[in-house]
Amino acid sequence: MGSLLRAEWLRIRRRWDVWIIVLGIPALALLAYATSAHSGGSFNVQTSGDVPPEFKQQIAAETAASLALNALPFQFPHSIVTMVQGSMPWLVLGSAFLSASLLGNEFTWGTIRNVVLIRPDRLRYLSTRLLTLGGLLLLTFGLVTVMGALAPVVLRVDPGDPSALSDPSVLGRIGNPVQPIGPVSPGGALTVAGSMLVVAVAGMALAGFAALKLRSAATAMLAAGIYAIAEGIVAALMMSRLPESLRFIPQMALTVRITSLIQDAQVAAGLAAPGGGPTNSVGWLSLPPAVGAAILAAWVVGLFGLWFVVLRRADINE
Amino acid sequence: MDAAIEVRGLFRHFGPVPAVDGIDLTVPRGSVYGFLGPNGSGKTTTIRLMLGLIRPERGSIKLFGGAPGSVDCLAQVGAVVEQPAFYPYLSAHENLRLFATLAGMPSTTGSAAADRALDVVGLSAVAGRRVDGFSTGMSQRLAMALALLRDPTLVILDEPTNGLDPGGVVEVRGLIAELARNGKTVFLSTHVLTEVEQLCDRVAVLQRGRLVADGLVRELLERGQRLAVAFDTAEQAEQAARVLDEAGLATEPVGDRANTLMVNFEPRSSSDINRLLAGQGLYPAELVVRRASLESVFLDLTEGV
Ligand SMILES: Nc1ncnc2c1ncn2[C@@H]1O[C@H](COP(=O)(O)OP(=O)(O)OP(=O)(O)O)[C@@H](O)[C@H]1O
Ligand SMILES: [Mg+2]
Repeated sequence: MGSLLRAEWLRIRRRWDVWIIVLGIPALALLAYATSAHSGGSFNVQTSGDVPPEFKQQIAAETAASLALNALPFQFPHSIVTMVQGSMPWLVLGSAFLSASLLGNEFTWGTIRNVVLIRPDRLRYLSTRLLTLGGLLLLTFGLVTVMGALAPVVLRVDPGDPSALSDPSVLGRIGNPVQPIGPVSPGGALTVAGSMLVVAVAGMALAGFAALKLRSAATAMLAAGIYAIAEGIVAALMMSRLPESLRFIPQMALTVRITSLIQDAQVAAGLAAPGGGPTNSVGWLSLPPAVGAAILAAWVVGLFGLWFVVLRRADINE
Repeated sequence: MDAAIEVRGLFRHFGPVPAVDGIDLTVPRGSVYGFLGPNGSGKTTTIRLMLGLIRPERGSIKLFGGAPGSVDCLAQVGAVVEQPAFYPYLSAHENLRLFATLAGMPSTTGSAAADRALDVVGLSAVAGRRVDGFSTGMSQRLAMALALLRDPTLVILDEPTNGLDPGGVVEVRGLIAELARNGKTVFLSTHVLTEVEQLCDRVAVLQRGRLVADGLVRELLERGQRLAVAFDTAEQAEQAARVLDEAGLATEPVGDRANTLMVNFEPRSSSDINRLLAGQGLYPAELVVRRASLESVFLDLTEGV
C-alpha cells in the first residue's frame, strides 16, 4: 500500500487542476464570506418627516434586532456554517470533478493499462485512489472549516445587542423570525458543516462510478449531472402523483435524501424550523432523520461498492 | 523446462465475431517469436489475453507456468501494447519513476532504473520534457523504455517499431537482437516481415483469430521454396512438365522463358527431381532452388482463407 500511495503523490503533485480545486474552493469561500460579512454589519432605516416618538422607539428596537440578526452568521461558531455553506456548490462540483477526473483520465490516457500490468491487484489500486480522493476532499473541507472558525477574528462583524432579538416587540417582524433565534453551539455548527461534507462525498461517489463505467472524465461529469437533475424531476413528479401509500418511493432518491439531510442537520442545530425547506414540497413524506441518513449512507456505500464491481473484471482495452 | 508462454485452446469474442478463435501456442524460453497476421486478425487481443488485461472465455494461458495477470508473472514481463500511454503532464523520467514506484522500487533505485531505461532507448536528452510534447516515435521509445524498466525475462512487443523513423527502427531491432543475445524471450507482433526474417527464430501466422502457420521461420521459408529447372529448348521443358505432372509434382511456366519450369518440389529433394528427369532422358541445363520470401509465404497463407 505504501508504494501505491507514494505513486499517488507522484501522480497528483503536478496536476494543477487538483490544486486549483483544493486551494481554489477555500479561496472562493473566503471571498463569499468576506463580501457578505462586509454588508452584514450595517442596517439602515430611512424615514421622512416627523416620526412620532413611539414609532421611533419601535424603529430603534427593530434596527437593533436586525443588526443582531444579520451579524449572527459571522459569529463563532455560526461562522463555520456560513463559510462551509458559501463553498458548498463548489465543494460538491469540485469533489465530483476530482473523482471523475482522477478515475476517468486513467482510461482516456490509457495509463490504467500500465498500472494494471505493474499492479494487477485492481481493488487495492482503486482503494488507494479512493483514499487519495478522500484525503483531497478532507483537506479542502478542513481548510474551509478552519477558515470559518478563524474568520470572526479577522473579519469582525459587530454582534450588536443579541438581547434585542428576544424583545417581544420585534418577534414576528424581522427576517425569518418565528423560530427561536439564538447562537449555535459548536456541535450544531459542525453537524451542519458535516452534512455538507456528506453531500460532497455523495457527489464524489456518483461521479466516480460514472467515470469508471464510461471511462471518461468529461462524459462522467455530464452523466452524473444529468442523473441528478433527472432524478430530482422524477422524484418531484412521483411525490405529487403517487398515492399516499407509495410516497416513500421518491423519498429513496439520492437527491431527495441529500436535500433533506441538510435540512435535518439545520433543524438539529437550531438553524431552521422543523417543517420548512424541502419538506414544503407537494407530497413530501418526512422520514425520521436517522432513517433518512441511513438511506443516504446506503447510497454512498453502494456507489463506492459499484466502483470495485465495475473495475474488478473490466476488460482493459486501453 | 517449461515454456515462457503456453497457450491452449484460447477463445475470446467481441460481439458476434470471435477475435481469437482457438489458438494453441508454445513460446520456448529464450526464443524470439514472431507473431504475424493481417489487420484485425487478433494479434493485439491475444497479447491482451496473455497479459491478463482481458479474460478468455475458454482456454488457458500460462506465463512461466503461472497465471497471466498475477503479480509474480507480471514482474518478469515487460510489454508494449498498441499505443503508448503515459501521464501527459509528467516528464518522461517522472512517468517512469512513477511506474517504478508502483512496482515497489525505492525512490533512488526507481530513479536509476528510469535513467537506465531512457538511456537504452535513446531518450536521455529529453528525459525532463513533458510527454504531451513527444512525437509518435518518442512516445513509442518511451513505451519500450517502460517495457524494459524492470529488466524483464519475457518481453511482449506489439508493433514496437510503429511510427519510428528508419534510424529508430534499426535501433529497436538492435535492441531486440540484444535482448535475444542476453537470453530473454521476445514475443514480437509486427506487420514488418523483414523484422521477422531478421530477428525471429520462430513465427506464428494468425488469420481471423486462427493460427494458419506455426513453427521455425526457416521451415516456413523452405515450405514455400521452388525449384527452377531450365532446359536447352522449350520442347524439353514441355516434356519435363508432363513427366513431373505424372509424378504428382505441380509445375508452372515462368513468364517469358518457355524453356524454364518452376517446380513445387517439397517434400522431395532437388536431386530426386534431377534423377526423375534423367530417367526419361531429359537433362536440365540448370537447377536452382529459389528461396521464398516471407512476404510471399505470408500472402499465400493469409489470402482468401
Ligand atoms: N474491445 C473491443 N471491442 C470490440 N471489438 C474488438 C475489441 N478489441 C478487438 N476487437 C475486434 O477483434 C478483432 C481483432 O482485433 P485485434 O486488435 O486483436 O487485431 P490485430 O491483429 O491486433 O490488428 P492490427 O494489426 O490492426 O493491430 C477485430 O475485428 C477487432 O475489431
Ligand atoms: Mg494490433
